Amino acid sequence: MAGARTQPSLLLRLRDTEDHAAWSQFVSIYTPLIFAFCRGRGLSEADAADVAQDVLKAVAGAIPRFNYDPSRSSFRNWLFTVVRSKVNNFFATRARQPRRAGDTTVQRFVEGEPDCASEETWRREYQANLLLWAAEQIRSEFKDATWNAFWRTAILAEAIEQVAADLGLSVNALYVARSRVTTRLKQVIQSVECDPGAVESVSHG
Amino acid sequence: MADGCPARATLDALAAGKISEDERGQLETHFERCLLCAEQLEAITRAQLKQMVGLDGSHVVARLPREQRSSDPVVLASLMRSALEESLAFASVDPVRLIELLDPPRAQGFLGTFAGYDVTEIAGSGGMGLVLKARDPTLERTVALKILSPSRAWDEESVGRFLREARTIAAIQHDNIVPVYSAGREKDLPYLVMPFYVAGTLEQRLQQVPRMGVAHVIRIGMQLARALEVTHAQGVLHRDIKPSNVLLEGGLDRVRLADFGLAQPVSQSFGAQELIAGTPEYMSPEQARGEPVDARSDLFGLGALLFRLATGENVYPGESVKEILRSAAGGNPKTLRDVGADVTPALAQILNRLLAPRPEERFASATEVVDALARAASRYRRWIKRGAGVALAACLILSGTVAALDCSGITAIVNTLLSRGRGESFFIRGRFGTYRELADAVGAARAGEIVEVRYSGERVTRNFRLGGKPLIIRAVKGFSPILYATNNAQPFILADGPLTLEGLALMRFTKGNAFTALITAEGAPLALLNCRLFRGTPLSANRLIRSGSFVPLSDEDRVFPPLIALDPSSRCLMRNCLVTSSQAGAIALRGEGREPIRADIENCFFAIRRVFAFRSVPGFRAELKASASAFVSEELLDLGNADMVERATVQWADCIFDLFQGTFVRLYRHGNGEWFRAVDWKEANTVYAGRGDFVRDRRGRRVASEAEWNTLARLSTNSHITTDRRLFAGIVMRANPQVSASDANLDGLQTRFDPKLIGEGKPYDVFRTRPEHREWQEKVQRAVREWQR
Repeated sequence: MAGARTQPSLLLRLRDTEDHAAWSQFVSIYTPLIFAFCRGRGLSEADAADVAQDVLKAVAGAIPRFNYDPSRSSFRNWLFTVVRSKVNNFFATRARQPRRAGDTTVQRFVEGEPDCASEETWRREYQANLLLWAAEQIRSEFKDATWNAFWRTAILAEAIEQVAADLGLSVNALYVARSRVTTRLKQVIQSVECDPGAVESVSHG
Repeated sequence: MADGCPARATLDALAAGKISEDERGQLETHFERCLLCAEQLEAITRAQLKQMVGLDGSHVVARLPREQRSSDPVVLASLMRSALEESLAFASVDPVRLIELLDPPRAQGFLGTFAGYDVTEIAGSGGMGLVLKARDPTLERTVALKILSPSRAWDEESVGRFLREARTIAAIQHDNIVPVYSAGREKDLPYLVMPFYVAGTLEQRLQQVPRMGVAHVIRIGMQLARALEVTHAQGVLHRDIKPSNVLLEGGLDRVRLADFGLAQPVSQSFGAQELIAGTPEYMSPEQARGEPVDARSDLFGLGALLFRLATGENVYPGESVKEILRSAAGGNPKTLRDVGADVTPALAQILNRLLAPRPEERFASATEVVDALARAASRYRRWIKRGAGVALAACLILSGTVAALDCSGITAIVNTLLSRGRGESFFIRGRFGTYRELADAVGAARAGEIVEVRYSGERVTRNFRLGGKPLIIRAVKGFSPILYATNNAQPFILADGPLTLEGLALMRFTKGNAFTALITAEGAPLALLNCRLFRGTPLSANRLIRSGSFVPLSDEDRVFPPLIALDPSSRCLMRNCLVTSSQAGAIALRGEGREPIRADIENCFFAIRRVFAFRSVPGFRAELKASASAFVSEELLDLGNADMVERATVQWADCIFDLFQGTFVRLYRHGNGEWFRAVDWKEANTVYAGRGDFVRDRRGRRVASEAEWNTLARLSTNSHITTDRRLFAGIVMRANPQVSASDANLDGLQTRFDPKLIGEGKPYDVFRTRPEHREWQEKVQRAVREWQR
């Protein structure tokens, strides 16, 4: 199998609001991320779900007009501006409509930090979300040993020699396994994130 | 670097996935031998990982379930220990007691052993005792162990009773009852073995989502009532109905009642509070008083549970167990009104009856409850509230990405041909097939689909309802359909799901009285884009159709139902619409609910008797917003029973009001005169043409003068009241939003209202039959003709 995938990236496909499959995939990948981020900001489950829906609505409106220039702003950053804006709106609205005392939303608003948006938190959540989703997609393509070689060293941060010994592999073989899984992961992630034209530059060092 | 080592570019290509399978195999063979190349490959991998994972994978690990976070048994054991500590803290269980309770674990990964089961974790705890998640080693299945609390006094008699009832339940097999696998005694403690439901209890769910909608309340109510039906028939009472005793098997579609008969009174003496039951929040009055109980006591508990589901609050006021018990014994529950519940009348009736303080006032049996709920269900159309698929449909409906009104694609072409050939003008976008009647197309459409209307001119259209599903109904570009409703006994459209109408004209002509609205939004958002709504008499209809102009406002002072009725939990959005009627209201807002009822209007034109009417009930809240719109009307806002309005927020921006009766606010009742405190009136950049009596009561008497009104309404500095009708007509008719400097007192006043955007952008006339407006009418017509030129 040649490495090249000819299917356009998810973001491109999203411009067609009729492409239900693309939109379903988008919603299933990104809803948990948005939801988890909102929960991390202190929203209750019901409110987080509401905000996530607002974000999806805004994205659905904007993406068809979205001129995506990877050199200017990544999708991750752009999505964050939307999420942050909706979460801030949420807090601002709640501030204007005081609820009964004891309402957990009020408490959370008081305890939460509506104004200091954590870009770093978002970046990590975003990465983790995408990675875990991609990992799920490709897990079945690899033998257990290959997969564990990658997962234990790259994610669980175990020592390479130790893992190699556990799995009965040479260090060379371990490197090969890591490379295979990493390459495949990167392909899957890019198929969601970028335009195929924005080619991955294989950096060294 | 020896021969045979691949070039750097090859390595890059490999890492980019651009190498064929065969070449990859060869390269990998090489790497197995050549450490140098393997290390080079690894360097590339590391760079890639840095991009994808960052400096370390800890944020990824944090999102994994505990048992996947390490492959090291030592680390895992320590993770499990901290899990135990956390759940102990959560369950507020005495750890010493727990250790005593459990035998040491037989295998790794377990907390301990109990009665031969391997205990995995604490699933929950309550006043009754502990629930443990465990594994049956023989049958290799996961179970829940419910161990009754050692801190309560269990005498032989109670234990015996408990085990007898457990046997009876074990013999009953019902979809809505948690089966009992076995029961026994271990270390002198009675315990039950049941299936373990991963989805948890209703109480846990309520902690996360405090309230649910009517559909869920009814569905859960029916399941629990059926469970009670079956067990009552066997002579077993539950005695302790509460959300933590309702287990969810998956979602809310299958709930099971657990823990029958555990709440045994230790002593039967009057006033005894030594009840095994942990919390009195769901107790019937007779139970709280220690009196003998029967099946109807369980029905009360069911009512209290459903009350909590519907409102998010407990039925008894009070903070401490003592206070709650006192409320319970005194028979002083809250009412649905007190908490502002958002339930249908049928459900409210059922709840009130279940919660009646005297057993003889309640339903006589669980069977009656099942029947009552079934009737309530069939009257209520549920609509899907959450789920990614519908989130998407909601996105598409409300975000306006439904773009061009023209067809595209093969199905559209086929449908166009079919519709021309068959004369059937309705079809569903993306699907083959045409329909003769709009009601049929709506019936056949699935949630989130678009029904397209392809005809012009007037067609008699049957009344229809959405049936709970989100829909868009729109005119195909180039067509101006007029939907003409003739059945006045029902609303023309009952929008019991999210509805968007685009490019349609709706008309209804009344011979005699009709008591329903043109569109009723029942608990759902309604959006009207580029629509025209008319209601009038047949005479005016003809004039309307021929001239494309408004219905003249009549002198009749009868109360007719509105064009749009918004029921609790609904809201409406209007853009570029035209609304006209010779009778009463444009938009009526009715009832009260958790959320204020909202209307959001932009660039619309209303020629109508009364723009907004509140059908106020206690706790009524509304939010009205209008911008860049023009209103020609007798009255702007009818507060109805003003004392009941809790809060009305009103915002006008860039609007024109021609209130030729001059009434801004009409009050039906305004007893204490404090009604204006409930109204938050904000406007900017608006112009009012009116005179006198800003606020009137129902007999038309003035309630506040202009000076008082200015105080009440806090008119902003760039708004203006003028009585110069010429001026007003000029503003309304002008296509150019800029007001020229020769218009005195209105320097800088702009209006954004653009009549060209209304409906199809056809020009319109405004004229009236009132004698005092005839002159104005002529002036207006002249202005229109000039504008058209």
